[in-house]
Amino acid sequence: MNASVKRLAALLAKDAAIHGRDILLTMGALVGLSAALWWFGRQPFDVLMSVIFTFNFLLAGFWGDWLISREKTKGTFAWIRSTPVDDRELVLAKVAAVSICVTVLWTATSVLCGAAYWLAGRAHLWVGLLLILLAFAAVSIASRWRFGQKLGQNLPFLLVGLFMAIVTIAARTGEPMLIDPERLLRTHQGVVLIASLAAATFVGAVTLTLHWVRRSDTVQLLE
Amino acid sequence: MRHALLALRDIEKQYSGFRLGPVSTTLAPGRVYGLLGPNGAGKTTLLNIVSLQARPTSGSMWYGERRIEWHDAWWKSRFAYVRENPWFYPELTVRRTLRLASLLYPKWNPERARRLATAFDLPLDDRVKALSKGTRVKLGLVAALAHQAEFVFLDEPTAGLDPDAREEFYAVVRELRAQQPGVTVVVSSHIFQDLEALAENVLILRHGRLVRCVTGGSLTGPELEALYRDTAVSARESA
Repeated sequence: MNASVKRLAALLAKDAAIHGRDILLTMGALVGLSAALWWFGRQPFDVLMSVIFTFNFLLAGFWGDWLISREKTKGTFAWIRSTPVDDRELVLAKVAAVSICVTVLWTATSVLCGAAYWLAGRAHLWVGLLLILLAFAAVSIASRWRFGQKLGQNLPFLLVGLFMAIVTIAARTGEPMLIDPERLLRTHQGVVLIASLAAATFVGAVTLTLHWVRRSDTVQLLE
Repeated sequence: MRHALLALRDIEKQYSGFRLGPVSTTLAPGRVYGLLGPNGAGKTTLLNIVSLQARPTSGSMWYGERRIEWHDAWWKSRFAYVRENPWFYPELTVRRTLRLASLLYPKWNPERARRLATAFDLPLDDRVKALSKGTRVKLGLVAALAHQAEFVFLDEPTAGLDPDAREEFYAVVRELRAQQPGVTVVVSSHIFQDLEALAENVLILRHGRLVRCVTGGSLTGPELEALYRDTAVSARESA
């Protein structure tokens, strides 16, 4: 096996050993909640998916934070950085870890309603929403790595809150919006546009994090 | 294995309110260097620079004829750095920590790691957070020996240890040198006894500057202390 792939796998296994139990617990809780909503909620399909997506979204942000926070506060990045692990491998391992968790959770929770989605011919929307989740997780990792605890944890949620507030205010005042996310999500082209933006955000967040980590002294990566 | 000199040339590091250097010195293979200085003298900063934890503002490092670059994985596979503060993952067991290290270092020798863990009496199934500081330092040294490090940097390894644990630490370092004669050890400390027990060469840092290098000597604790006080007087006079 290529040495870089071997180190990447070792870093992923390490994160699984440290965070696996907590992540599985939150995953199990959300899958259970989704199942309960599906079987007993009697909600319209779109409402149900909105609720499930919101929970997935919150967890994507929390997991991104967890994966970085513990290493920053315990100083363990310093050991990893004194080994032959390249900063690219370090960043990619974190992004891969959160991406795997987000994908597994989104698949597990939405598969409960998957049949209806596939039948409705809206699989592209499922992929588009997954890309939004991945982008948010990557932004969460970038923010936590770059900033201190309070700002790093809250900035991604503040940005999303600000965006939602602007959309809501504009919709209520009847302002013509350049982008109406709800309308966009109902069309194939709209989903492709949003998915492309999410993919660009994901790549941008990873690139910026890599740039920041590579040029930083280890002390700047710790708290 | 042939080991080369590690040369530091005009290394400088500027932080807000602190400046290290310029520091120029060479570290020869198979020697034990003591890095002596008061708190804030720049010992940890210097060790951070040679272990690529901090990027120097200017200057260069050379291993023989090879220039060591920032993020040089080749160099990182040749040293081990054990710091005063928590270092390994506290949640992992000793066994798992060694397994993780074995996957990160290209020249890891599993048989040697097993043998040393037994010799140093490491509790393999205990979590790192349950280990005493002395045992964590031993774990660092086992990892250093198992990946056949040519340089071992130890930052204040005896701070907070009781006299018995310190004696044990000295024995472990001697064992390390016996196991791997070409290894160069750099120990930072402000405890004269540590350097008397271990160091053949002493570098004294004050206010970010390398003010004295004593090489090839076997100085006693009181001699070291006198030398150290003397550098303080010289530093005050030159200021």
